[in-house]
Order: sequence, then structure tokens, then C-alpha cells
Amino acid sequence: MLGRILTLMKKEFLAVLKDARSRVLLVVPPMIQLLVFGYAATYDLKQVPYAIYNEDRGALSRELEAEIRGSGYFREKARIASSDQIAPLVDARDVLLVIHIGPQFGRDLASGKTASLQLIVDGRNSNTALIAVGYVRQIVSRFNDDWSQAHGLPPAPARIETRAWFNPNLESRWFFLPGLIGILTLLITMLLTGLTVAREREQGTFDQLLVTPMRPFEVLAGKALPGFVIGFAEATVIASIAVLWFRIPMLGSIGTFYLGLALFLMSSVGMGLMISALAATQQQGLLGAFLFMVPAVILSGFATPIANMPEAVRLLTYIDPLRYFLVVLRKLFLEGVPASILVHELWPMALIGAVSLSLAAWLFRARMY
Amino acid sequence: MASEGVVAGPVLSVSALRKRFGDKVAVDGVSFEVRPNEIVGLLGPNGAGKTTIINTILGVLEPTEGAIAIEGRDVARERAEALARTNFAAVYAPLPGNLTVYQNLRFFALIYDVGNSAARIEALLEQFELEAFRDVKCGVLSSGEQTRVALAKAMLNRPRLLLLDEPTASLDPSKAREIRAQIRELAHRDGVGVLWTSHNMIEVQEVCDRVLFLSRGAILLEGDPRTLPAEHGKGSLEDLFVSVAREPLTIGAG
Amino acid sequence: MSARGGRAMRLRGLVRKEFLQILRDPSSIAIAFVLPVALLLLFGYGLSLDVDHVPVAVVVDRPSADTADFTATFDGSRYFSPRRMSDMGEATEALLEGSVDAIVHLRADFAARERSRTGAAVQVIVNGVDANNARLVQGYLDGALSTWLLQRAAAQGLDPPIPVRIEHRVWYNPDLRSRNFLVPGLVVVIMTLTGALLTAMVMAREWERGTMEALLVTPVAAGEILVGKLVPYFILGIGGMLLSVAMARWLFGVPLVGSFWLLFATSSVFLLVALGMGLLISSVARSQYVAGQVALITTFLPAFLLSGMIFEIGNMPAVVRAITHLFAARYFVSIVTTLFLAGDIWSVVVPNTLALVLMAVIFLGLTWRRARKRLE
Repeated sequence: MLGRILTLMKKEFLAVLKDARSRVLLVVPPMIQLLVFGYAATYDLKQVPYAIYNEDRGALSRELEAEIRGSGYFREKARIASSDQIAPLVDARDVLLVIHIGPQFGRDLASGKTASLQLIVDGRNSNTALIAVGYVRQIVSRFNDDWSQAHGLPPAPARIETRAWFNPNLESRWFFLPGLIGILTLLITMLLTGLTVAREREQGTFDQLLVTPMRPFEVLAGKALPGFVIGFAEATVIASIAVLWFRIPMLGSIGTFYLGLALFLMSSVGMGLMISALAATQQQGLLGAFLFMVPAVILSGFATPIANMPEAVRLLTYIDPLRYFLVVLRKLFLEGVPASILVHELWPMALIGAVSLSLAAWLFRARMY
Repeated sequence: MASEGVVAGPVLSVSALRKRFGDKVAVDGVSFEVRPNEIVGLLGPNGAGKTTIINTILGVLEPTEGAIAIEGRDVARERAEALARTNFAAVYAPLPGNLTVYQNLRFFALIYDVGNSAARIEALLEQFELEAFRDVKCGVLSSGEQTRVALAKAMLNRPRLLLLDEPTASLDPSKAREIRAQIRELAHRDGVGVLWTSHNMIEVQEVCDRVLFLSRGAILLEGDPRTLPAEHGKGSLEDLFVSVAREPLTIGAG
Repeated sequence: MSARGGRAMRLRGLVRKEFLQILRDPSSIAIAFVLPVALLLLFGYGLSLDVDHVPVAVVVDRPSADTADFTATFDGSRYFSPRRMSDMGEATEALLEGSVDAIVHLRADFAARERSRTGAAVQVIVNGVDANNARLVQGYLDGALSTWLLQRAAAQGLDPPIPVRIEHRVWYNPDLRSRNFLVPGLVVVIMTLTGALLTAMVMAREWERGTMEALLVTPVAAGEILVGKLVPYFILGIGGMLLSVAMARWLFGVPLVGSFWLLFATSSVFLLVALGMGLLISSVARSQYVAGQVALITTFLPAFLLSGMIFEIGNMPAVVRAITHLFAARYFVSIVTTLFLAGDIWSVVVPNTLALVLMAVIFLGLTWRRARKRLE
């Protein structure tokens, strides 16, 4: 039995590795994708373009301007002199916000009244807008504290001191990169397993397998194992790049990483083979692969929190192996938790893997006889 | 049915055709003609260049050198017009399998701009005994039936030039004989010029008025297949071919 | 028959054949209609960056009237879902577990220091793993503090101790609903997928089955084959797009401030690009297997991650920003977000549409050239 499985595995490996195009597709894209997406995936605002509309021109207003400019969050893109210049800049998305300092600013401040600062924010990306406003708030808060101290005013009765655990600089890249490792691994397993059975069926070579003494379980193993091996290799490469190039921390143990990876591969290879076995044509196989992969990625909690999802959608995520793997990866890399705490995420992947692999085997058999 | 507007001169004329693929020369200076009412056989082993020649005639490949004219029209310059009264059948160019016989014939009737197509399709279904398969998907037909459909499609536009690339290749001998007889009759009755490629010398002897020996991209000999061997002191076409081309025609054959 | 009459007949035949084959394999219909609807429902409802009812652990070392006054701001706010915890140990565990997103800790000396010169410090700990969430929560807490300070001052009849106050106005999407920009972005991603999926396998399949040869030997020209394939899938794609836009507008309540016809026109151009890309993949790949793999790699993730739909392009480093120019989804996301939320803003629509037109020409042109090279 082992001999037959190994033979089939060898054939699968050859099929994948002998075609130069196929080889290239396996190696190059994941690395490029990690680099490109790794740099793209960020919610951190950098160099937010803004326009300044300063009607006051006094020393105080210019001081505030300087604080904003010097904060490192913002980039002054334009200075405008009248309010009708606002619309074209915001509309065309040349600037994300317009900071308007009214003519009374300095005078109000000096006389002890509360001066106001107007912000016009482009809400088209609400996430960015909120964060940008938050940044301005922080800057103004500092300005207020400095002003109060310098002028002997009573300080605010309370202020907030924030600390962020695990990611003190709030580098969102640290959040996304472990996620990307998961996503790219899923993509690779889909590539390898999603179309294989359908292709062989269309070409008639699957039928040739059926007339051999191979049992369905052996066929399954022969097809699944190469996916495993290649998935392992690729994930290792991607994770190494993430740690070595992007410098994300890896606080957990490598053993736990591979344990999580193995279970994840089990479940994603299983799903991939299941889809491939269900498809009668390669086009259907491709459709199935997309129908699984796209929701699996978008609902995995990669970019938007699962907690924000309504109950019905959240229920669906329970069968998404990527959802669990993402938690494992993040906690492992950034928090360094041991496997015992991750059990809660590991067993669902094992379950999904076992069920999908069995279903795939059953489907092989059903189509065979 | 008498052929309409008999064209004086050859239906197909190939002049000094040369086709190179990189370093390999697949067709090396081939010239020949096919006249109306004549079945010309292109005989040669696999790899001789038969399919390449057919593909250049149909404008699927561009010749490296040389010219091809169908009824006087240059294929390179006026392909669509030149091919309007041409048609083609081969085993390796099957009709879409998931369309029915009728749907396929209708499709190609539109492609060839066949007037009064409904009547023409009916006539062809009858002629090739395909009425029973009218609504059957082509993919499930037997190879004999598929060949008949391919020929029916090939006759849709009342072609002046018919190109057949090993049309009987996947048929059993009795079916093959039937098809050969049908095509002979069509050619002679309707004045069609046929270019028939094959590596089966028995077939060529039975069907062709003239045969061209093709070997390694060049035409070595030309003549009536029934008299040619004797003219050169050989007992059979195959012997003649082997002695001229210094390579066997084929091992076994359909 | 005139040459033009012949061409019209051939096109009619090609389009008809394609439709017949589409009807035979319902997966194309599924791709065009079922896929967009299913995905939009799933993601339109599922995706949200709006943070509401943030679970925070509130630990008060020494409860008093002052601390109660402070913590009351959380109780009333829709942004927070406060949970009282007895000590930091419990709160820390909750934070590590993930059942709360932040800890607000009022130390024992809160009341005393409140009236002192330095003021009291409220200790806040956020879980930085999800940095975006952490930032938003921080922002909310700052806002809650501001509100408390203002209320307190007003209650005491004092001037608020805030030298500079911020008034902000939000243009376009004033509710700051993330759904309003996520849903149009999703429509773009979905249309990218649909376009590529519909056509990615089409040519390769004909090559594999040999039916391409039967077609090439006829008087049909390469351009006619192309148009014959584009037309049916374009019609399907437009159907899917209309369905998606209708869902965005009426099911998800995303406002459509711009004109529908402009949206329709730009969507058509984008669809041509997506279809063209699929056709190009299909004609270069020659086998459905490779076509499928290339489609998997080049369509979904770039459209999702590099189009600006979820991650702002302005935040990306220059090299990556340049790379995003390669993907049609980027231009379309710009157009769609603006058309939905802001209106017919030509300074955004025109340059992006031109880019799309260019890409359509390139993809379709390359496909046409490859089809002309035929069997070589």
C-alpha cells in the first residue's frame, strides 16, 4: 500500500514540478506577493495629505501649524486662502482633510476663551477619516497641555495614559503579516489541490487510476501528500521572509508553528480535494476554488474583525480553517503563547481537516464505482 | 445538381510554398494544383508536412514563402473571400461536443453565410443519414457518426475545394469504404476539387485521380496512382514510395 | 454575399454558439449571477470596520462618587460595552483572552489627584495586536474623556479647561459608516472575479478540446472570434453588475450620489478590462489548468489588497503604490467610491476611466494579436 501511495505521490510531484511554468508559478508568486502585500497591508496613516486654511496668521496659529506639520503624521499639501478652494481639493482626493484656523484664533486663546479649530474630513474611507481626526485630536491635546502649563491654568482633572501591549508602536503591519502567511498558504494549497482531480477527469486519466488496484484512500493520500509537503515548504519560506525581512517578532515556539501549520494544511488540502472531487469540469473546479477561498480570506478576520460581523455570518466563520490559523499565527508571533492556550483554535482545524479529507475520499469512491 | 458557374482553371493552386518553423523546414518548395472534378491525394508518412500544407492553404499558418490561390483568390490577402467556397474535415478538428448535430450545422451555416440554411441542413441530414441524430450532442456520437457530421458540415457551403485530412482515420474498413464512395460521388457529381491527405495507399489507389508523393516537406513524384507504380517498374504504390523517398510509408495503417 | 454581410453572419453565428454553450454549462450563469449575489450578501453584512460596543474592562481600585461620575461616561455611550472587573488580574486575563479590547484602570488615588495640581492619570491598556482597532479604541476613549471634561466643567459652572477645541465636519459619508465604502469596493472585487472567471477558461477549453481548430479553418477572422466571445460574457457581466449595484443601493443602503449612467458607463469599461484579462490569460495559457492557476493568483488578492478598497493606497510605500497602477481594480475603486458617496466628480472619474480604457485596449489588443498568430 505504501508503495502505491509513493508512486502516486511521485507522479503528482512530477506533474507539478516538471512543467517549467508550473514550477515558476509555485515559487515566484508567493515571494512577490508576500513582499508586495506585506507592504500594502496597513491601516497606519502615513503622511496624510492636508490643506491648511489659516485666516489668523498670528504667532499662536503658526505655532499650532508647526505642531501639526512636525507631528510626522501629516504632510502639508496645500495652503489655501479662501473657502472655495476647499471643495476642489477634497473632491479630487488631493487632501484628506482641511484644517481651518479662524481669524479669531489667537485672540480667543490669549483672552482665555476657548478657541476652535475646524476640520473638514473626507469621509469616503471612514476608517482613515476617524484615525486622522484621532491624530489631530492627539496633537491638539498636547498643544492644550503645553498651553495650560505655560500659562498656569489648571490642568485637566484627568488625562489618559495609554499603553499598547505586544505592539507598542501600533504597527498594523505586525498584525497583517502573520495573517498574510496564512492567506498565501491557503492560496498555494488551493492552487495545488483545487483543480487536479477535475483536470484528470477531463483528460480521462482519472479513469485510468480507477482500473488499477488502488483504493480510494490511497488515491487521496497520493494527491494530498504533495500538497502537504509543498505547503510546508512554502509556508516556511514565507514565514522566514516575514521574520527576517519585515522584522516581525516571533515570540512563540517553532514547534507550535508547525503544529498549527500541519493542522491548517490538513484542513485546507482536505477542502481543496473535496472541491476538486465535486467538480465535473475544470471550470467548475475553478469556480469552487474561488467560492471557498474568497469568503475564507475575507471573513477570516484578516482585515476586518470577526467581532464586528453579525451572528449569521460569524456562524459561517466557524468552518473557515483560516480563521483559526490566523489567531494561532498572531498569538504565536506577537504574544508568544504556548500550544496549550491555542488548543481552542487547533482542534477545530483538526476536525475540519478530518471531515473534509474523509468526504473527499468518499467522493472519490462515489465517482469511482 | 450541376455545379454553378464553372471556373476555368484550377480550384487550388499552390506555388513554391515554403514553411519554416524556426530552424526546421516543414514544407520545402511545394507546388501543385487541384482542378475541379478531381480528387488529388497527398500521400506521405506522418511528419511529412501534410497537415502543415493544409493549414497554410486554409490560412491558419502563414507561409514563409510562396503563394496559395483558391479559385484565383490569394489566400494571404483575401482570406475570408477565398475560403468562402472551401471547406475542411479532419478527425483532429472535432465539432463542439456539447452542441447537437443540428446546432452545429446551423452554427457553421452562419459562419459560411449559407443562404436558405434550414433547407440546406435538412438536405444534408438526409444525405448523410443523420436525421436520427439531429438533436443528439456531437460529443456522444460514435466516430463513424462524427465523421458523417463533419462531412455534412463540410458540404454546407457547396464548396468548390474540399480539404480532407485523413478523414477515414478512425473508421473501421467497411465504414471507411462507404465514406470513400460517398466522397467520390460528391466530387464527380458536383464538380468539387478535393485534396485528400492520407498515409494509406490502398485508400489513395481507390479514391484519388492523382497522387502526390510527399516526403520530408517536398513532392517527389506525381501521377495516376493506378498506373504510377508500373510506370516506374514497381509492383505497388508502397514499393514505389519507399524506393523514391527512402523511407517507409507507415507501419500498419488504417 | 458582400464582405460585410458575411461578417455579420459569422458574428451572429459565433455569439449564438457561445450562448448555447453557456446554457449547456450552468457554471457560467452561476459565475455571472449567483457568485456576486452570494458574495455581496456575505461580505456586505459581514465586513465592517465600525467599532461599536467595544468591550472594555473597567477596574476601579477605590470606588467613589468621583470615579462613578467618570465611569458613567462609558455606561451611556454606544461606543463602549463596559464590564466591571474586580482587579487588574482578572482584567489582564480578559485582555489576553480577547474578551475585552482595552482596560481602563482608575487607581486608588484617583479622587485625590483629581483636585491636585497634576490631575489624575487614567491608565489605559489596549491590546496592540490589532493595531487598527487599538487606535480606534484609543480615539474613542480620548473622545469620552473630552466629553466628560466638558460636562464636568459645565456642571460646575466653569469654563471648560480646554484651550483649543476641535469641531469637525465630515464630507461624504457623514455617518462614517464603513459599509458605505466597503460595499462599493466589494462590488469592484466581485466584478473583477466575475470577469476573469467567465473568460479565463473559455479559450483554453477550446484549445484543449480541439474545437478551436475547427473554428480557425473557417473564414472566421481572429477579431471575430474575440468579439464573438466578448459579447455574450459582457452581457452576463453587465447583468451581474446591475444586480450588485441594486443590492448595494437598496439592500445595504449605500447612497448613490452620482449619476447612474456614469456608473453604468464606467462599469462597462471596467468589465471590458476584466474580460480582456481573462481572455488574455486563456489564450496565453493554452491549458485550462494553467489558466485557472494564473487566474487564481492574479485576480483575487491584488483586487482585494491593492485596489484601495480596504487598505488606503496613500499609506503604502512608494514602490507598492507604483505597483498598484498595474491593477484595474485600483482605478475602478476610486471611481466607484466617489460616484457612490460624493457624486460626479470629474477630476476623479476622468483620469481613472482613461486608465481603464488604456488597459482594455492593451489586454484586448494583446489577445487579438495572439489569436492571429494561431497555431504557431
